[in-house]
Amino acid sequence: MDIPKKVSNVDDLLGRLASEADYITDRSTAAAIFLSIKMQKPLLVEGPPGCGKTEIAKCLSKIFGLSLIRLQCYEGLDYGHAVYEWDYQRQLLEIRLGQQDPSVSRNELKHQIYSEEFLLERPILKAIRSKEKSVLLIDEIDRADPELEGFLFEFLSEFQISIPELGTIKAQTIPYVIITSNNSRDLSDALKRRCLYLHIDYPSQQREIEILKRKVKGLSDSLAMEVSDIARTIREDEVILRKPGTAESIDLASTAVTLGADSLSNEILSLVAGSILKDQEDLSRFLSTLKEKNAN
Amino acid sequence: MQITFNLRKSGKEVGVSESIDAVSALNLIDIIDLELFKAILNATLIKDNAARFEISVKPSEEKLGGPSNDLIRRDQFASIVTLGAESPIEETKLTNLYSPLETTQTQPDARDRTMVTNRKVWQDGLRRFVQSIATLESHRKMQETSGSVNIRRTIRMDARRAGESALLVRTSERINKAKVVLLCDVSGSMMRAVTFISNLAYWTKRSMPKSEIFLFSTRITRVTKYADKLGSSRFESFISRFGKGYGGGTRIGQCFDQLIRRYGNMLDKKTTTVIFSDGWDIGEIDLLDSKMRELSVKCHKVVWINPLLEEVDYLPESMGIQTALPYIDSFLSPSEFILGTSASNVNKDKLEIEVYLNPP
Repeated sequence: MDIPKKVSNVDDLLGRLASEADYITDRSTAAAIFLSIKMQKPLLVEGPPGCGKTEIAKCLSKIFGLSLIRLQCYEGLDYGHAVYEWDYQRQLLEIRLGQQDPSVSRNELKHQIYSEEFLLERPILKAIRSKEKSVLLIDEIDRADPELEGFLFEFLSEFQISIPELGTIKAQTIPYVIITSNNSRDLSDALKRRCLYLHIDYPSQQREIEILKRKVKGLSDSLAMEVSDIARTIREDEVILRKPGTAESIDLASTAVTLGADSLSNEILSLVAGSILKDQEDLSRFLSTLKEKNAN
Repeated sequence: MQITFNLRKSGKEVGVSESIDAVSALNLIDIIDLELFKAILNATLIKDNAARFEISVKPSEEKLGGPSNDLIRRDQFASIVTLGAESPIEETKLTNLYSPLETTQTQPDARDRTMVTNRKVWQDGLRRFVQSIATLESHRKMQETSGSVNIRRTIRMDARRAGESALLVRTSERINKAKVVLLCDVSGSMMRAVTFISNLAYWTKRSMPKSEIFLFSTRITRVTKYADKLGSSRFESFISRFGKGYGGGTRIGQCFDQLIRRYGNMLDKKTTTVIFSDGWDIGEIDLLDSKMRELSVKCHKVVWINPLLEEVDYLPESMGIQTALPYIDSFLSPSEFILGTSASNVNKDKLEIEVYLNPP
């Protein structure tokens, strides 16, 4: 069955994300994912760290039973590591074998060694050549150099890549492309133009409690509420700079459950605060606020 | 089309392909409420979380007998969508927040001297500046025919080609591309140099695409995308509005603290920090000292452009400048920066400035 037909509308997708992948989100987010699936356009997801951007790709792969191909971006990532590279060793071996066989002409040999057989697949080429539909996750694109965006334009708009020695390779099946960014630098307009856009923010308290209860086994309602309250308080504190995402809230809840705590007393909190705040200055600010509360 | 037209009028660049996407998206969804409608517009046309936009649906529901509960029919898509405009902010006055030394000092009108708007002058000035800071050699080596023989790479190439490679790999040191973090003071005392700030931000971004632009006063805000997209003249009015919203003096130390903590990953040994400020500061001096030290350690160079240096009788005696000076590599006036006249250097040992007089 054609995958886009498997989801009929936004609410259907919203339900499936929750029931099949434990991904609790709002209708706006589901709408953007739905449109990306139906329109077969890449989806650029921006937002603070730990809010479930990467999770979208994993969930799509899970609910549609597709393979997930991941390209983790980093500074210095080049075309050879993102798209394709020639397999020099195998080309040399082929030349040697060709030299021993008098029936193979030089021209034939030249064409032979620059064929698809000698291409080393990197994530983007792998997604293009995949016979089965797949989910391609281009993670944290803002970490890569702006030049990489230029390499991606052809792929993102046409789902094809051009290799000078071979010509153009078109995608056999168009993959679902999810691009994530932590917004540490602005992405080019040209990249944005080729994608649908989604911004994910911190969830509302009610949604966060729902997520916590789904993700952390054995978490009581009251503890989930407390964790969510603490996360919200920290996010509202302007002095604390590294705000915790949903992932950190889940970490805090898991730590509390592992310690067998029924509630987050100040004593427990001072022990597990490192799971929600990961910056020394933020941590000391939080602990001093706790102490003040204790004193009062 | 009406929506696209309205967005373009509001300053958002919307392409034809994006309009087509929006139409396709709206056709894919049968019943749309306002929440979905907004989500579709954001995903296909607006693509910017920072942009606030308002939607008002044109036809009245009574007339159409249409759906209630915010549902929108397809024939109502000719909605009015406008990008949120900045709310008018009350004018704030430059009050005597600074030290007595600063407030008793006459405020020179630096406007005229910082009004360099000639494209060619800016292009040349920034080109010179880029050349002067893009000299840091990377540990990475670049393959180059005129470079020296790289034995390690030659052996690796040989191994990759099964001992068949007859090539000697030559490499040379790679020169990193210049990258700048520009910090512009937009407190009341700096509002006279707003044209210079907008041009400096715009041309810095144009000359060095990897650069990041921040405005600061009592807090720091990243405005890179506005400097890039609005162009220098529109960015100027943006800064004016922005500066008015701040008020309350300048807290340089606190702002740099926020910069280092929030955007610390932007500061590295390839980055030059350029500060455009008069150095008037009401913040904690200890904090300014420690943050300036941190900046000078983290970054390749720290360049301070001070508009007051244009004045003949100006002496950098205020606490802010005195604290920052030991950590500054170049202390320049706007003219020195753009026109490339004698770049002043700070003698760190003696804490004296060699050049702070008007350029010839």
